[in-house]
Amino acid sequence: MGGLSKKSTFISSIHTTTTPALLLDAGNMLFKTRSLPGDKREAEAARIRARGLVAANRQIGLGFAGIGTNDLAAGPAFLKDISGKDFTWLSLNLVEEKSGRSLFPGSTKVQAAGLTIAVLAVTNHESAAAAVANGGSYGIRPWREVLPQRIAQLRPEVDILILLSNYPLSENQEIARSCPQLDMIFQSGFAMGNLPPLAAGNALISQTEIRGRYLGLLEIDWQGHGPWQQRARGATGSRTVGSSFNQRFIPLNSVIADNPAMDAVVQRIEQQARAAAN
Amino acid sequence: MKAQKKHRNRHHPVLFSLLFILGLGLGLLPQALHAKTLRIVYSNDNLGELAPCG
Repeated sequence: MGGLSKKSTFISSIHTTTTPALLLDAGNMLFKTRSLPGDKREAEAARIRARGLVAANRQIGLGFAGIGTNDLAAGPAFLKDISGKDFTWLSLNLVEEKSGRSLFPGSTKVQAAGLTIAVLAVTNHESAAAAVANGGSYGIRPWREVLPQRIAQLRPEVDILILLSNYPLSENQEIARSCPQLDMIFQSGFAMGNLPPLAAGNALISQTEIRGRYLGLLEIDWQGHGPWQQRARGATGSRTVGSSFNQRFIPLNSVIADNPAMDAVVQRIEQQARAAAN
Repeated sequence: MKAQKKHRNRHHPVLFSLLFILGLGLGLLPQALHAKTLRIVYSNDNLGELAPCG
């Protein structure tokens, strides 16, 4: 086992400490590719696994995730259907094709460690052609049309601004330079291994390896918006000027114990998916 | 009178040291009080995996 089971164990261990943890998923959680398998039974198996993934992640404590282009493989209606009450899909630029209205919330606010945090998400608009090819009745607006305004609106209301972005690194660097009010960008959609925090504008940009093999753990000492300082692990940031961080990637391998309850959930989902595929 | 003045002067270095430490503490206090610690656990591109092997 690995993936969800070990993720569950690690997150439980994090929650036992006094420092609160905010869980984020930057997108492309659900499907391998931008469209479902051509075979109907395989497509149904993929939908069963996707539904199970959201339920299991909700159980672990994930409350929201950015929408990546792969997450749209079964269409926006499917995402809405599987989200449930306590889980929200986020995309600021995913819109109804005809009306141009947003299909999902573009941002959410959460409280953690006495801080108000806004989390926004954008979906890569360059995949709009694929969306149309999938028969989707939706469009994806370029980030420049929607993101700067929303960030300017949110900045005075919150302490920390986080963007979940489905754009590639070069585009995210451009976003960070154009929107210096951003504090962090977590990206999805481009397999490039674990990317330790990279400074751009006033933001840190990071991503993990694909397929649930790693989690990123960013520990921040928040002293207000502005340029970041990196500090050695274990050091406190109270003597630094500005907010500071340390970061590491957690491999979800044999070092982390499996969670038997989550193992059972995963096995049940797999059984249902295999039954649908046969 | 002269002895009293000498006695006061002897205490000045101690007084200055205490004031210095107090000033340093007060200077650092707002930052320490203002700093808030938060952990962010993040992931991306799970690509439909429930339990990846290898």
